[in-house]
Amino acid sequence: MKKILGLTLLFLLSCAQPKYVNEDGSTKNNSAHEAGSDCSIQFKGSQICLSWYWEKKPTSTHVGSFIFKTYRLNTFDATALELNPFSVPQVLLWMPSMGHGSTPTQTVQLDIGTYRAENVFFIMPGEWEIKFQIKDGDIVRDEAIILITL
Amino acid sequence: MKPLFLLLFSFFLTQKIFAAACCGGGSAAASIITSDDKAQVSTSFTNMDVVVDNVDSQGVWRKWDQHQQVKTFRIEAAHIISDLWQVGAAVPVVQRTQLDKSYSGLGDVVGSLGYEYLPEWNYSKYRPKGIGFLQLTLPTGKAKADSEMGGLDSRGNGFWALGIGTLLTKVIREWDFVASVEIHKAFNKTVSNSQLQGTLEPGFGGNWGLGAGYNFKDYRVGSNLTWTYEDPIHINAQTFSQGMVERYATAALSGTYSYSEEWSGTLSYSDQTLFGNPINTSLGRSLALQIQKRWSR
Repeated sequence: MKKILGLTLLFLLSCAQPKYVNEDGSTKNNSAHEAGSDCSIQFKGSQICLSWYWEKKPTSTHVGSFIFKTYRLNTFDATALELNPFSVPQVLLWMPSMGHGSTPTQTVQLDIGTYRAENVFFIMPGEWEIKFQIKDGDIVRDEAIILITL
Repeated sequence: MKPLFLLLFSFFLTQKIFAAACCGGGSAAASIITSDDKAQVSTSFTNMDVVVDNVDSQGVWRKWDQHQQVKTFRIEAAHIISDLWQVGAAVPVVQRTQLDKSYSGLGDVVGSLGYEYLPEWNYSKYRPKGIGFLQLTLPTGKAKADSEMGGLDSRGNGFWALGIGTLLTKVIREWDFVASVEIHKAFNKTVSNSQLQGTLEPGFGGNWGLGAGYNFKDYRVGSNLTWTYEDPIHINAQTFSQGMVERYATAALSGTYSYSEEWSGTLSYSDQTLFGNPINTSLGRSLALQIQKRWSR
């Protein structure tokens, strides 16, 4: 009985839950808000999957950040396996209707296939593209694009 | 003749503030003498508040509580080179501010060549006075696609552009009327910055406007409406957008006081939220003050 309880406790301790930060600075667990966790977002060339979620949503006056992951689906059970692409993906914000971008973002690698995009700021509301670009120097080798509306 | 003077520079002041509210864009206007003067020099100051941050392709308006402010100081001059020919130039300095960030610098410098193809040699009840002009825009203001700050540091279209247009004026007693049309073609430009490496491929654009005013003593009050259209700017890079059409309309009210035959001042208010069916643009309201000095022939 003691062994069963010990194994059960060990199992529960190994289940780490992602933490999300609300706009007010508090955190909450909400894995349902992670977009692309079903590989619906992919890099065009390599078909690498991409998922993302807001860590801190930007406002009209403050920058924000989000976490994104690059992964492939396990061929056996379709679970996510994080992987590193050719280079650390760079994040570019672009507003197609207005023909301009926004202030530059910075990408920090946190773990295998896990990154934080920092200094995310949208200069105006509207429809934006978030472009994830895998570059070789200045050449864009692969790209994934998501659309958001502010 | 004074009513005609008052008409002309007050109309042109409001023409010059029909630039797009956000992020560069819009087109600079030529400096044209439409009176019988030999030369003219004008200085103007315009303060524009962006009140609608974005109108998207479906015409949905969106705004936040923080907006851009654009201040423009402009000097322009024109001089005749013969009875019917004239040359002119305009130099704007633009400051764009949002939150704690501010960028300033030279806007798009414009040079013009005008020809009076419908001179007023004699009185005609219906024939207007007509001036045609060629206009060359220099890419001294950074294009918004060239900006690494979301367009905040762009101060004009940023392209070489060639334009052609005409201005028709008619004075009937105390009333004056004006119509204008201008078409321009901007030329390709190579861009290389941290966000974009490729070629910007603009197309055609144009403005057309109507105005009217009433003159009494040394004063004139008037209004005009200008529609602006710009082709999409295609970005030819490894992976980018086709661009989108931009259009908006600028309505203006102005009041002019002519201190003497040589000096006058105009105060003008314009609003881009009242007319037209804007898309893919920002909309603003502005207040402008212009002082003009003229030299007679």
